[in-house]
Amino acid sequence: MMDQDQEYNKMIEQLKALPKIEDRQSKTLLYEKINETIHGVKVADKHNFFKWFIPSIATIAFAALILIMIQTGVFKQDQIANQATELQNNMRDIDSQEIREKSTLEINESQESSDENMEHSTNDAKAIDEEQDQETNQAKQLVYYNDQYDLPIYNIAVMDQEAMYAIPISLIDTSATDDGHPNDAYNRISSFIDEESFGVSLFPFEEVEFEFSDDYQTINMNVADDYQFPQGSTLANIFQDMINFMFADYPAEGLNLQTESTDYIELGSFGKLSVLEIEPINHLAYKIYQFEDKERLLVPIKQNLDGEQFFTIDEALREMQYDQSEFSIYGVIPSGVEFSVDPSDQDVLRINFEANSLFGDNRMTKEMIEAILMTAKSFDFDRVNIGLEDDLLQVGSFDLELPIPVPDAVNPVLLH
Amino acid sequence: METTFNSLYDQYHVDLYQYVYYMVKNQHVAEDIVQEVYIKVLKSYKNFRGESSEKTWLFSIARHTTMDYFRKQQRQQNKLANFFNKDQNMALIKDQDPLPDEIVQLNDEMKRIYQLLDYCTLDQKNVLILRYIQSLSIHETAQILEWSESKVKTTQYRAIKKLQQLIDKD
Repeated sequence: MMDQDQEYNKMIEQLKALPKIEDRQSKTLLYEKINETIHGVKVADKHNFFKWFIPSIATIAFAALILIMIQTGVFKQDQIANQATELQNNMRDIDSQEIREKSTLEINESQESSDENMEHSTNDAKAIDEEQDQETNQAKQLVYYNDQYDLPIYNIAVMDQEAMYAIPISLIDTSATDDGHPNDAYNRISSFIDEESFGVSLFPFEEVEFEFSDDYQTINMNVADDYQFPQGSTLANIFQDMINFMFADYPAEGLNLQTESTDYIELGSFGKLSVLEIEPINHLAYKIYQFEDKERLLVPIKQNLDGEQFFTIDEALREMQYDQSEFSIYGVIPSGVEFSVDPSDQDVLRINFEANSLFGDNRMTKEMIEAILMTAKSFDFDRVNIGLEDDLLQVGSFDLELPIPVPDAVNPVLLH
Repeated sequence: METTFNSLYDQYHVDLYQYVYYMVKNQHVAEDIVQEVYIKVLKSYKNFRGESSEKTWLFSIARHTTMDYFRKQQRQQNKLANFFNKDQNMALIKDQDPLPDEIVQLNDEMKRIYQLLDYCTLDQKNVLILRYIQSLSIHETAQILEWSESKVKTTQYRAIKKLQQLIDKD
């Protein structure tokens, strides 16, 4: 009887012995199909000249005949179409003129007759228009681009109310006179984030001191001898996520853990640890977190609802259609919307959405774009080309005609 | 474009087709996916930065395209399941494609291994195909799957164990 290792190795050998399956499609035919799809051109098969020549000539002749037969009709249709377009344009001009005149008349009438209803209606409509225009511009930015002033950014992290998810927050040091130093920022996190207004929980970092070496190669976490890591098995995991979000951009590969007298810390279910490895967290799906009516924040999700990690961006984007309302987490892509994703370009991710009435220059679309950009960043894309409605080319500050660079930071909080 | 296609085809086509075929196990679907892979690659070839090898890049696109196919298929199956009976075991709707000639000629045990690949998760199937049928290294496999090398190792271990258990059950 074989032992386990032998059985294991036998299985590997059997897998290796599985045969090559022959591709029965010819290379020429495959290229023809590819070229036809890319350029819409059918490539001639040089080796089978007569196979295509006669049918082609016949097809061309037939097409020419059909063209001659219908040419007059087509011209007529074109003429009709042109006339119709011209008429539509004229009608539109007339309509606009009428609307302008009517609107002037209405305003005059309303002024003259003091018809309050009419005035309200006009003002309401104007107010709604202005509100919609301004809503996107005034909505809080959930991402930040550092291209203008190159300010120091300190990544910190908080937890949702249920302490299930780490939420990264970027402190933008607008008052820095030089490159800034993180020792200060990381040691007074609670002074920057108001738990109440953000609707989040702060990890008890007050009892913790972070200490950076000048070259950022070493980061120490110092606690008192009687420090007790918060109880709960999930807290160790969320703490690891928070540390990753906070320090992954620094060159240090691990966080050194020490008390006043020991070179380790008892980290809940992780046990005694002297170094906590720092690893960038990739392949995330960003959604909106909002507890009650507090701040809206982008929250990165590592796994889908079945607990599986995302290994393609397509999966992450699909996950972004789902709410997890029990955790105050909401999908950013409308659930019924179909979209296609082309991740084949290493730099630019391309996403095309089917038309949907929810898309517009509004907060929902802006937040969807911001979440997509952060998700794309976590999959190492540099830019994202987002196709929405044909005539929707600008959403907030995003110009959809060009690929949008991924942001430098998420959930920015400006420090003054 | 033709020169690039010829170069890619001559170097990688046999391996590319093997990978896609073993993943989907249907000749026509494999042909369609391979065609789509070439289209994506040729469209974006000028943007290829050479950070990974050309082969790794090509296989990475092949994997994404194949996974897209599975997702579409899953959505259709979900719709079907919803239509007939939500509790229906979707494993019963497995493809009934005929075995290719190359597999028909194998002995029963090898045929069974070929069939049991479908009972592995897609992650496990990916690793088994890339590591053992394609003979790629752990490093190359990790690059294509965008995983850590340790994840490749653990997944391949679990995949082989699973195949062994399934064989033992027979």
